[in-house]
Amino acid sequence: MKNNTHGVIKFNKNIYSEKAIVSSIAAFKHLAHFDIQQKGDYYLVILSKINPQVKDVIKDEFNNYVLAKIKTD
Amino acid sequence: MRKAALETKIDKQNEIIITLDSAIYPLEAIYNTAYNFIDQAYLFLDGKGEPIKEVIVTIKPKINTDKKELLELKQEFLNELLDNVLRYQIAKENKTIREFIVGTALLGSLNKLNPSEEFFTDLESLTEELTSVSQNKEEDGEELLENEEEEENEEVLDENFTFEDPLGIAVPWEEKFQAQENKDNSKKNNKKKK
Repeated sequence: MKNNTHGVIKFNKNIYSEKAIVSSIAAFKHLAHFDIQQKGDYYLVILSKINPQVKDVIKDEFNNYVLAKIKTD
Repeated sequence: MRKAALETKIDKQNEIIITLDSAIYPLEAIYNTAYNFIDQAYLFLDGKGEPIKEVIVTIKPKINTDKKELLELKQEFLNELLDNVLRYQIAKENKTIREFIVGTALLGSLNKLNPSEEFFTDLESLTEELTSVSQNKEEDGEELLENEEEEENEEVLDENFTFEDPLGIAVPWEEKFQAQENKDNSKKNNKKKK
């Protein structure tokens, strides 16, 4: 099975901290390949090689995880 | 024309989009509210302006829901948001008093360790500053407290006030055991004399 699904999530720098995003990537790295870039007021998290079993929910779950990280860190 | 502090809409993908004025709804309160909902829905925050003037909250339920349930979820979120705004404001207002209480408690334990004089001068200036803040707050609640104290004093000073003590818990130790101890001592003395 090919494993080439991908996506981009834009996190506003004034709302989401880089620390929370990076630690969330560490927690999700077994489910996809992550790359983080900066563009203007946003951090761009680029997902590729997403595990097909989680491709429908990974972005939403990742968003929630980052939000929880902000609250608990 | 002034923009509303809160705008909500439900899009075609069954997502609730709430736009909030960050001057009225602080970001910390929005974080806490969103955190409370992450078990029910997927939440995403975005903002407009530098520094943030508007926060856009996107709520997507985890399970398929009809329009009625979506509206309920939205109302729940807004109620929780108000609750968190209030908590945030109270925490902010009481910050100095909380710090004062912790400082006083720490001073109590540090007294035993002979801290430097500089520490005490710093602490005195902090205490004066905080006392002036707390005095202002005390004045507001002074009348209320006086009334409460009067009511309490009336209760304590009531001469007819009695209470039941069937197990003798309220009897002082001396009254309870001293008489018996005296008896035992006198018996021992008598034996020695014999």
